[in-house]
Amino acid sequence: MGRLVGRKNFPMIARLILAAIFVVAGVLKFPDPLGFADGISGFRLVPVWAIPPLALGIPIFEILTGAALFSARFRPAGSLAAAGLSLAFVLLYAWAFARGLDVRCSCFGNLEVFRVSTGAGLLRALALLALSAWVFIRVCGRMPSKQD
Amino acid sequence: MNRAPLQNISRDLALVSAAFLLSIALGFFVNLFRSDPLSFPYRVRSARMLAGVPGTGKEPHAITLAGAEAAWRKGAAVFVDARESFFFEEGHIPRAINLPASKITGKKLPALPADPAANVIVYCSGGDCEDSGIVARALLAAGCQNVAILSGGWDAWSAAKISQ
Repeated sequence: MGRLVGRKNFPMIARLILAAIFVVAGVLKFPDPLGFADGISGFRLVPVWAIPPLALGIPIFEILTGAALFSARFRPAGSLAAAGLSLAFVLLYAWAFARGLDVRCSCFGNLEVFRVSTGAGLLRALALLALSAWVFIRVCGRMPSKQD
Repeated sequence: MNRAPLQNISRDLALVSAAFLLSIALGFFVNLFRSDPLSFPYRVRSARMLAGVPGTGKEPHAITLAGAEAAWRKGAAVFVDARESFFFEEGHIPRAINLPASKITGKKLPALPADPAANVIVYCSGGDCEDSGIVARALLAAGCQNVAILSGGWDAWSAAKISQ
């Protein structure tokens, strides 16, 4: 076990964890677009006309992002998408936190256990951004990677 | 500067953009076959909830933090927290009851206080939240006669560090 989670395998494990996070988040949001739309509107940042495309598209995009991170061919694109999504989440939560909004996290659909306050949501989004940025740099910093 | 990584990133950026647009298109397509599809135009949660509250022609009035505190100290008002139960559990005005706006529907109006003439003060998170307005209108529709909305909501109350 210790060897499996060794330094050599750490980049691969980090990437697989990131992939799993995006796939799970997308799968859990997918069945309830109205709940996710309400979650987006709670931030009061996105215009109403843009909410349906985002509520319907983002869960699928997250699943594709996770799948791309699992694959060898689309890994760089997946890491770029993961970093972009994570940055968007951080900006959204920073906006809500700065305005003192009580927003319900819709990051993982209606899973009660993942309902977090705005401050905790911001910290979690920052952690996700750090992981995504690290994976992005690892993947795109050396394109023809065959090790991880 | 090495151009190859930049070229790769611009290619990946194009791929990601295409995947994003494809996801939106696929999302709209799948929505056609959902048993409970997202309807268009999208109406924000507060607008959907207010549509379920019968109109009474009466509007709740605003009450200042000082006025609410005085009523709370005298026990002269029922405090209703209109936020979701998660936020209520994190902290609320002592003795307040939780009646989230999401629980309000046209068919199920909130239970009345024993005395319809009792003072009811509704609050949500802050000055620009909408849930207190929804719950206050539902209480008026249910027969409450004296319904007020706490200006500044929970943010103002907690910032004032009001103690018993």
